[in-house]
Amino acid sequence: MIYRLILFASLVFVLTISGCCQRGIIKDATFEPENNRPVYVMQVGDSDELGLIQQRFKIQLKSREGSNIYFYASESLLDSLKEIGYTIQQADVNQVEFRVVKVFKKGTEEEILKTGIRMINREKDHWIIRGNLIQLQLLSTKGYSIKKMETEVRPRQVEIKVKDKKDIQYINDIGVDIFNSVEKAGIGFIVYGAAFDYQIDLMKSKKYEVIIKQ
Amino acid sequence: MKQFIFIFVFVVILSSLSNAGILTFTAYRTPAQVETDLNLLATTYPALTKITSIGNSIQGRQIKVLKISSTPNINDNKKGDVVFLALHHAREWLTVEMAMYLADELLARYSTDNELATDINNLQIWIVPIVNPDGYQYSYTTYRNWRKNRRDNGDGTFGVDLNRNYSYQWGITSSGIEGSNNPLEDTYHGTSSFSEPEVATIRDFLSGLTNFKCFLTYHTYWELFLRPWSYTLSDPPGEATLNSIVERSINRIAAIHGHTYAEEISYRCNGEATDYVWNGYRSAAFTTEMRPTSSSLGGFAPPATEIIPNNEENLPAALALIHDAARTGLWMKDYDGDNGSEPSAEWLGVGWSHAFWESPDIWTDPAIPVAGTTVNLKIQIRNNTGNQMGNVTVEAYYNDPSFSIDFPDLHSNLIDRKIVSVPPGGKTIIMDWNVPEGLNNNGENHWCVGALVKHDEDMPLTTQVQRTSNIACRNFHPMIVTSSMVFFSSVFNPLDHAAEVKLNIDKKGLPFGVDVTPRFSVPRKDVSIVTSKYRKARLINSRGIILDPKESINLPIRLRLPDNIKTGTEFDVKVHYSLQPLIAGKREVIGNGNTYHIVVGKK
Repeated sequence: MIYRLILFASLVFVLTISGCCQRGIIKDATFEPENNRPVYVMQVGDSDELGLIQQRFKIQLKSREGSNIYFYASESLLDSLKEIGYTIQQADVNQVEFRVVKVFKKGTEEEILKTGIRMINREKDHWIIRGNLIQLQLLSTKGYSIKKMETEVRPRQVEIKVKDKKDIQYINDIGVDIFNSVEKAGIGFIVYGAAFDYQIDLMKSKKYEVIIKQ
Repeated sequence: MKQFIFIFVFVVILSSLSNAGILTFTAYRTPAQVETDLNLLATTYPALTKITSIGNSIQGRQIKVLKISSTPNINDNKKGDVVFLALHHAREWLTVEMAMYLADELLARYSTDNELATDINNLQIWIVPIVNPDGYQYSYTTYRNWRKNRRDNGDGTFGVDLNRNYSYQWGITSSGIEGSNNPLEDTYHGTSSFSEPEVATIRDFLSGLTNFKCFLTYHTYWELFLRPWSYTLSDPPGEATLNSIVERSINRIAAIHGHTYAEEISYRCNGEATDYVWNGYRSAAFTTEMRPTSSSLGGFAPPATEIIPNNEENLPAALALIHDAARTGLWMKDYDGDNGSEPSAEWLGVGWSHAFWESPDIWTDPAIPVAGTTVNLKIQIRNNTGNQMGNVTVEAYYNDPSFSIDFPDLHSNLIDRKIVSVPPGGKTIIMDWNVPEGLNNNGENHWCVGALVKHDEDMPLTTQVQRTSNIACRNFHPMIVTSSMVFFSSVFNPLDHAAEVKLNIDKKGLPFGVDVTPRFSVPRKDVSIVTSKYRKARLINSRGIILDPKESINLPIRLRLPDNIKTGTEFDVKVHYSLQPLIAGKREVIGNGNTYHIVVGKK
């Protein structure tokens, strides 16, 4: 009876420990496309044209770069688009599919940036980056430990001192989340908002004074 | 006496401040509480309200609209539509409170405020308290500072900025601002305009309105009252009209608790809601960024004690827009039988229902203005308020019609501006007009004179003549003709979009034997030249003449006179034209017409 109790307690102990360890394990990031479907690319003239395409065909857009749109399509949809006058090519899905992942630090930041990834945030023991599947594969082959994000990455609350309204426009154009700005005599403007590290880097390169609040 | 006046004014202000409604505003509502309170309003005021789901969010939550109207179950196209939106951005909880407060006050005051009741009886007021229900829920449960919706972008990031997802100047533009194409960023604009079901829902809802008057979208924070454009520093058409409303709104807000909202924001952004509405509908559209002014005062999370004063100060601006939309107090006729209804004319597919560019309330002395001379321009302002109306602004402009169809717009030339008092019934205003020397941009002796009437209690909410009785216009286009001829009617596309042109000649009233026919045909599209304009036309199966933005075309029209027509015979040839932009969604028809006043000269 006692042995059974000990055995049972041990089993419970082992299961508990393995559960804890399981929760502590961060999953490896994968570098496979989310599905096997081919991705196509074509050019559109402007957003009105893209809107008309969506109205008529409701195509499943994957992403857009400039006037190039990347999308999934059936053969019949491709035929319809070609009939209207579009020139369509198949895209390399590994170049247009991106991931935001965690990379544990190894070596220098310059080395990792050479792959073309974008640095998002720098944390104590890891970097949060955004890269396409080819870039992430390359990092993996170089021995970096790449993991999925357990939670969504958040920007940092910042205060930015600038001289001119044109600077505020620049801050907006690089995608900083602007809360508000205040004109201050002798300084220019103080902009309150939230930014990722790559945006902070861009602002600092323009000699803006950036204070990270949290 | 002064003390009495002071006490009277104080009491009036206090009574307007007191919360007349049934809801409380001492804490921020959870998403579930908003649902409960909307239902409470609907059950308390069943004769004035209707709640409808107008669409679903990306995660499948319903987007609800509260309709306030004396006929809530009927879609009455004679009544103007006024739209209020809140919570495009998830963290801006105060906007939900404002939307609920607005609804609560309108309903509570209906039975006690005769003026407001009359306004509501003439309108369909639509309030969407939560445009972004998924974001709201996420902001409540997980991350207070969340802004976007909750689309899974597929790369580990979530969300699209709903107020960057509207189509006008979205993304691929020549404006110089592309907007954020990075899904990680809080201002990410999505894979295409209207990619987000929440924004597509608003688009579809607006396109279903039959008499869309004006639009106000609530945001926080900064204390700003903004008009289009957001995407550029350049002024929009109708800038003077929009500015008048902005100034009035700021004054009304400041009068309550002393907070003077500013009228400019420090940066441009595209894909924004009010730009979409003003461009696509020419219905007055505004953004209010409400309290506070800074993060030190709470930022997106001001204390709950701020809810009531914030709502109190923003209510008068909303009530003023409602009043503008509801009433025809000061007005001008667009044509002889016009009774002041808005719109006064509709595009019937083959022409306008009425030629609204021949206002009988605008005329000159002498009747046919001669180039290079000064004439008396006379404008009849009608007043059916029953009261003497002081501080009425009357403005007159002339346009080169080849550039514009808005009054006023960026090319409008101010003739004069007068501030007058208009008695019950009306008054004729006289101005001196220096008729331009020479011809317009198309080589025609053709000018459009437009008149606007504005009052603090009665503002035009558009620049489109037929859609507001505050604006009227008159073509002046005399032609002396001695024999059959071909003349050219110029059509110009002033829009930022390619547009399909339709032209129709009204043959009613032509003297016997006179014939007027277009002599153009739709050019065959050369399929070897595949341009964006061509593809757009194919996408919507357009078969008409397409003009690129700012492109003009001269369309030949043949005028045939019978041999026996008498010298001195006068008649009008009315040419109706319309432009329909090549855009997705509802393609509002704009345009007007040319009236050629033909005088048969001696051969």
